[in-house]
Amino acid sequence: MSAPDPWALAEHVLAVVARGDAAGLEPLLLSAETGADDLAASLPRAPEEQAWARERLAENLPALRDAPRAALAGLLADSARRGFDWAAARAAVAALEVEVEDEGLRSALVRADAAHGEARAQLHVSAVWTRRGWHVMQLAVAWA
Amino acid sequence: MTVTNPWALAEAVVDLLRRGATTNADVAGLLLPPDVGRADLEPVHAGTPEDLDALCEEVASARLRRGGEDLRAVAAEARARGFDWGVATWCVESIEVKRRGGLELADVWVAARDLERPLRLHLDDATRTARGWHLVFLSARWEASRLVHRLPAPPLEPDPFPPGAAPIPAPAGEVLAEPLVARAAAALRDAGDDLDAAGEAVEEVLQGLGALVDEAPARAQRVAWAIAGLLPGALVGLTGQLLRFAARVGRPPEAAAALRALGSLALRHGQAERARGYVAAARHLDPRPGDPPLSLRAQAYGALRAIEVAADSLHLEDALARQLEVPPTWFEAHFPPAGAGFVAAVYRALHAPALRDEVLRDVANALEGRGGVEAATAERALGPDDPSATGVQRSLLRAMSTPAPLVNIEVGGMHYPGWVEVDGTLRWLGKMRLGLDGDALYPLACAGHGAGFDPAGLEGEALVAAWAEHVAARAQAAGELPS
Repeated sequence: MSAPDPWALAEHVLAVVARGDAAGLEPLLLSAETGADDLAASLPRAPEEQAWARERLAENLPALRDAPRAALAGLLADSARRGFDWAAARAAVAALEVEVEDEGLRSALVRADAAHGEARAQLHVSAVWTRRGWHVMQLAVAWA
Repeated sequence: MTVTNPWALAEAVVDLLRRGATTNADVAGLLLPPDVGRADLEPVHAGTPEDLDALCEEVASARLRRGGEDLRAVAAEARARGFDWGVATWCVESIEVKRRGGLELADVWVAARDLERPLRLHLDDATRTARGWHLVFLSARWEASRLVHRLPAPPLEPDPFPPGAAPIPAPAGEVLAEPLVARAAAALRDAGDDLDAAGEAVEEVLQGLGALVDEAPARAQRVAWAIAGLLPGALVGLTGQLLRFAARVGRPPEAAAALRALGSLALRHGQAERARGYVAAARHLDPRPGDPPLSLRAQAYGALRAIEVAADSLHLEDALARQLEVPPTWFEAHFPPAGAGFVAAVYRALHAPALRDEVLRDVANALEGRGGVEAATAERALGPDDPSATGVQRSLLRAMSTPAPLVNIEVGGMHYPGWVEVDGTLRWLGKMRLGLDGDALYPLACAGHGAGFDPAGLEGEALVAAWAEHVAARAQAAGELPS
């Protein structure tokens, strides 16, 4: 499963975080079947650049899949330590910015604001576009 | 229709603009529904009860349902500017959520570009209710965003050179026995996979080709084309150099073939815009009926590229000069019968003769000294109130019965006004100045005062002078022109 747009993807991630459901993140990650064509197909470039994008993806795909998993585990542990209850928090997407990188990848940085009592948190979701939809590339949390 | 978030709302708005769907029925599903009320606001409201009361009053206002009018205005302006949604690429650029009176509103920016210009759409105060997100205000800005240059170039539509096609024929027959071709073939064979060595060898052959051009241009063209056919794809730079050579020294059909091949090469290397320019240039030298339409920018690049290529060849300059003339049918199609003859006579007598000796060489010099074809810009003057129209162009545009844009081209700060679009290529109409008072005669001639003139064997400047006097006298008699 991917999301049709990065806003919807961030809302899925918020739901995953609220449930504390690490397995729920899996369908939102880049799949092992994702190829360079899926990532760069929307941006026709010179053949040399396509080849470079393919190589870069082959090298980085395992890390791109593992990084959000580790980030979610850290985020849930940190939240528990601080007593921040995402399930009870009011959380909503607040801002989104799109970037198109030189090699043709289209990514979005989405910020969701959450409040629980006096505590405040910002969830940052970095998303990447492929022909199959939007996927999570990185997660981070900032505590206020 | 439920729009679940501001991104999806932006996509829906762009979809309407692309489809040209702007009727009330098309847009209604995106606006705040007429019956929206407390029940739709309360579940998504995070303010005080007083805020909610004020919001209920505010959403009842017709002011917040003008998004449809905004959309029609944006669509109309895009049409007037010639923005081509058919080939445009676009991307949501940013979304920022703000809260007002406890309600979620969003500012959404969308970056778009067609072949010629960037566009930013701004969805302001997009509003969330329990029924989804709604369009409230929409505006367009004709400016580039940080994203626009990174959006993919629009595809050639239709694509005359599918990637992988091989339009450069391998040389055969007696041309293989030409000493320069044989030398290039032997050097390439010796170099094997060593591309640097192959490149150096061919560069040496090119020097010999330069000498042959002065002695036997047609032979040089065949040799250049043949060597281009021998080169491996990795030496594309040299292939392009040879094909440009071939285009410059060939006759019109051969030059056009070389330009089309250059278009193919450019396309294979992801340079769609340059490819269009070469294809458009080929049309000037070897027109093919039924060629697909091209954007204004491609037409301008094509005309300029053709001028650049023709600059060194009398054969090509003659052919191009004929192809850049405005045909009589254009005047008949765009001016009323009473004035079409007068406007055409001014063109034939005062401007067409300058085309070859003044304009083509002047533009070719500007291209050589001021940044080349890629530095050129083209703009359409759409009507008499268009700020990009010059004084005489306003007069001509006012005189037209069927409006046709007048195109102004700039090459590195040099202005070449007065081109018109005919069958997908630009033709040079010229400035069409008749003098300060004379320019006003175009609308008067077309309003009926150009009728009834007897040329009585007059030609050229004498014909124009007599006809202008006829128009002025009739207009003065009718009280439409001070005596």
